[in-house]
Amino acid sequence: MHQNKTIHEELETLSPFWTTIQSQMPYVVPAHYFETLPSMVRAKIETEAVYDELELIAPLLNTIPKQTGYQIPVAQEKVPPVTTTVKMFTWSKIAVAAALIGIMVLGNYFYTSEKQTFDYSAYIGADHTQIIETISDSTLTAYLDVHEKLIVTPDVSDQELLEYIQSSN
Amino acid sequence: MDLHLDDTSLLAAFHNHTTKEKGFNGIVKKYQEKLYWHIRRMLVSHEDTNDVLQMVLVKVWNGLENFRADSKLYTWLYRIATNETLTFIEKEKKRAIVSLDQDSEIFGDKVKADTHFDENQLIWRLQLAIKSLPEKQQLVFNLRYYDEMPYQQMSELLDTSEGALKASYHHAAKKIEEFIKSY
Repeated sequence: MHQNKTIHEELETLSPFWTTIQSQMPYVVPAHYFETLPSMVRAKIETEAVYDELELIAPLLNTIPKQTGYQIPVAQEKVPPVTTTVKMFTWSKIAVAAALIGIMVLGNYFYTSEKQTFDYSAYIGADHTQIIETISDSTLTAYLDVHEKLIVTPDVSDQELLEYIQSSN
Repeated sequence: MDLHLDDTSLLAAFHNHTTKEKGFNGIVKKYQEKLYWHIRRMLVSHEDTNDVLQMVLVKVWNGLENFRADSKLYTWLYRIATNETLTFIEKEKKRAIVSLDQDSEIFGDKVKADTHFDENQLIWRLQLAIKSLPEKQQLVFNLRYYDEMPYQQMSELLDTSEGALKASYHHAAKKIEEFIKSY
């Protein structure tokens, strides 16, 4: 209903039909529209100011769309956790295998290097009489005194032994 | 900025460099709803109304420096809003390449396209009836019927004599009545 009585009366003088009509608008305004409008207008004013400024300086730039050709890379797909476990498992397997190989190589190295340091040919070819000559008589006597009892001889007489020695020479 | 400040205080704030923004925001907040409905009654669609209203307020910002208080701020704002709305309608007409009568039908269709439209309700039939009028008559009827604007102020706004406006309003009211009765 009109607040202004003059306008209400004016219509009533035209026709009683207008007493049945309400001056209410049926249209709906989006929520919070009037709260945000001042900031929207302020933003539009700035946009127009930027446009007008550029129009004076370099009008060509106003004809170019303000879009950059740059693109943000598409996010990489996350690797499923199962795949990660498998990868770790593979790496651990490789590490264990490498350690074993390392142990084998080192073992082989030390084993072979010990063999190489023992000179069998020199040992076989050595002149034992020379070595014995370097040992003093007293040392040899002492050695024989200690080990004489350990020498096991077969039940053979001295005569038989002399005969055996003479026949083999 | 206090919405209840009078136009003189708002204009003084706008003309002061340090309070220019606040003065403008005060004017926008004070008149935005009235201007919105003034435009929407003509354009029907909220989206079109929003576009035109923003254009109007940008023009107000640019032109307020040169505003002379020889006319009321309210009338000056309405004049800009009316001109922008009529310009928008003209562009729409050219774009659609249709005649004036067909244009009325288009805006009538926009009324029917509103999600809340209910032809059984009298307030919706009234909107259809208003949209069937020529634009100038729509303006006169809306300013008088909804905004309750005095003929003297409307005369300043539309550069038309009070007598002519009064006749136009009466004529519009009669046509609307006939439209609704025959609907």
